[in-house]
Amino acid sequence: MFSSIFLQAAAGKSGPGAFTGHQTPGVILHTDRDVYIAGEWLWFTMHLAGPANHFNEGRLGYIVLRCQKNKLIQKGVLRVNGNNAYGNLYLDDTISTGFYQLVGFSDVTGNPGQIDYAFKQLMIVNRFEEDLQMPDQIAGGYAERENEPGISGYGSGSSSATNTLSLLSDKSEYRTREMIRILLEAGEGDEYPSWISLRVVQAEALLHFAGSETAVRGETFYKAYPQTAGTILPSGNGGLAVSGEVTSKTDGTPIAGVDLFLTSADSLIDLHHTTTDRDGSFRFILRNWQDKEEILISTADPDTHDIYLIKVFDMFDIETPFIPLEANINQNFVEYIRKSGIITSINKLFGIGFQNEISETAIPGPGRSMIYSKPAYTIVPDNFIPLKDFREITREIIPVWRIRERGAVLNSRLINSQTRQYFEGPPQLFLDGIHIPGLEDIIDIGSEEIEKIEIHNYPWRYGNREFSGIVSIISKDRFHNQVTGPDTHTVVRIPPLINPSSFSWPSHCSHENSDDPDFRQVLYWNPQILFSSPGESRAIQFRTGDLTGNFIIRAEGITSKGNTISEEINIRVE
Amino acid sequence: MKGISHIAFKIAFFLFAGIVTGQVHSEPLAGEITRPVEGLIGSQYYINEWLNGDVTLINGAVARDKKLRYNGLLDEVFWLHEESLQHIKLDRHLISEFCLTLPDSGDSLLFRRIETDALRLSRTGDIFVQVLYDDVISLYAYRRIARRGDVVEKRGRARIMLTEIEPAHIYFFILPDKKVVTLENISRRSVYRAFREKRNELGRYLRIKNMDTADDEFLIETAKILKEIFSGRD
Repeated sequence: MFSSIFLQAAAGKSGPGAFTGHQTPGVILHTDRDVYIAGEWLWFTMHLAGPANHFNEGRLGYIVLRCQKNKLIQKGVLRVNGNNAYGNLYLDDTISTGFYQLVGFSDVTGNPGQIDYAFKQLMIVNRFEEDLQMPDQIAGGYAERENEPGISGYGSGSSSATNTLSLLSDKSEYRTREMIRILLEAGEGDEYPSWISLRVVQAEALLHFAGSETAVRGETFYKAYPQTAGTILPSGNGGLAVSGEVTSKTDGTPIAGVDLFLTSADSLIDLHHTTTDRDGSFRFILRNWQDKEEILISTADPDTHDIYLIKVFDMFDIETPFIPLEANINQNFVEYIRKSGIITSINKLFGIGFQNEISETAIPGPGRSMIYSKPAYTIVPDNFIPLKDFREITREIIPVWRIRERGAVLNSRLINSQTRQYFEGPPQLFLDGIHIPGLEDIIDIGSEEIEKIEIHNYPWRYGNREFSGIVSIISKDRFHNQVTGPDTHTVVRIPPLINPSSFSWPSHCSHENSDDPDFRQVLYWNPQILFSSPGESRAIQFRTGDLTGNFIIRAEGITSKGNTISEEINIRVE
Repeated sequence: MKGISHIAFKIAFFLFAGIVTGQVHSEPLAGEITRPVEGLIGSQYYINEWLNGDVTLINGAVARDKKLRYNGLLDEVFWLHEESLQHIKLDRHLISEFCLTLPDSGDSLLFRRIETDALRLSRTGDIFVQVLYDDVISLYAYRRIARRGDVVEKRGRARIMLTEIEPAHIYFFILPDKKVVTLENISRRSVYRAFREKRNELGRYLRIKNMDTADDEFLIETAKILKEIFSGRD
């Protein structure tokens, strides 16, 4: 029954916008539409070039939303599955009206030595702005194209097809709350679609941008840039890279051979260690980064943090500025925006959302890099009378730890459990899991602030670092915030992990006779439809909502030969 | 030999997979800086040389291509830090398993840390065992080095006491019902005694396979035969 409908539909007229033959960029980026209201979710999908094999395991994708002033509005990291990553971003209510750019990029795209970026221009409108001002780049004069819906003569269906991909709908005009059936058919030749995203949106939600190489609306622009020091991305798959350089605070020259520690606030020590290269650069690869909000980098040697400057590169700091293209709109656009604002308000008022069904579980990475499993001693100060600082604490309740004060110099030693002699060097100190370069920073902490003290008084090696014992202090109330500052630590905020999520809508949207409002401007969004051989087909069905007007069904993606492909048909809901 | 090859293949595959996935990052190892135990007659190590190997940590990360040695006297893994030539007794509780690559054959010997409960041992804690066969039935070897006795030696005018040590391996068959069969010496007779109920079938298979040598390979073949018997196949 279903296939016979589509056979009939296949006879319909060709749609616009089909283009093939563009060589695949390193990253392909699609969104569900081009126009959003602040307070809505933005859906995106990314396809990364390269073979979908185990080279991609643990590969990461990055997404940035930035404004015309190149300020970051949102950013996140995605785990790439095969070659694809998708998710959504919440557009905060406070985002002001204007053009924005979504940028997608990845660490490995098959082009060594360069980073491939995908840039997609979007418009976001704030519904609370009383006098709605369109961005300067908005221009009038867009004439509806030849076969825009509403012109004439839809037959029993619509279709758009090349030899590679056919896109068909069972009808071209629908009632509200009526079932739409769409068929995607791969061509029979040796080139067939391998990855496709599909969206069905109100026609006004896709913009024409002047200067676009093709007449296709909502196009993404692609460019590759050589990797530079400031944009080093991880090439060791499966981890988030934190890179930067160490320079002299006095003359700015890069310093080689500086030992650096990377730690984070935790009840267990998760220590990463590296040494700067000849050019002063460094790189940590964090495998369990998604569990952390921020990390702290410090010099391992307590005497050097005053003379070295640790600078961390921001991989989200994209050098290419965002210069918006002019968008051509028709006269109905302002009205569309006003309606969209009202719809967003209604949806928020009724708690109607279309997001956040997690479709895949995030893959856990390796856990913490522990430096010891069990301490030699654990001291709980609450079991003793209150002691005012570490001078008293060590003297009274930790006999294997000695602190001596000579003028302003503190001398700290543990007793070596092997030799029963004091170590020659001081122990490595950690407070709430964070490396503390010098005892001076914590000497005045009283025992009532401390939950426990772990003493590991063995001559200890961790990778290339040798410790004269380890002291780990866990405070009761995140005391590390009071002793870690820019003088001793460089703090790096970890970007959030965006989990893959599928587009879902409330159950009433699936029922023809529901009394609940269904003001979907995006009727359907599928971030990845995969084909594995010629001639395959994918049937999709969903209902229209309560909104009438022109809608666009667009399928776009890449072919098995790596060429971009796009098919589009128009339907009308009355 | 097939059993070792089987384990070796698995290890080689994971190593290769690790390389091709770009996971070149090697996790740091953690442990106590020690000096070798002295005053012993005999080797305290299962294999005396430092062998290249990988250590899989409990956090899932892998420390690759380290110089390693298993000490059967202490039941500890040692890492040679090549820059400092320090002998590091690795923090055993951070280790999940490790492998040692034999330089001549390229075969890898896989060792795993196993709770003693799982081996029905009376002592608490865990031990490192070599995985000889791992299927429906598992065969582990505890490469223990035991004290044999003390010997007083005269060196010049001084008399020093030395401890004689020798290999005293223990083998564990883990059967499908988690029952553990322990062997302290390898012989056809000890196998028949351990698997009294399966003696006839075992004997038939072993005769067919012409297994007569009392070594690890004999036990690996026995484990394979037991797998067939327990699976109910001829």
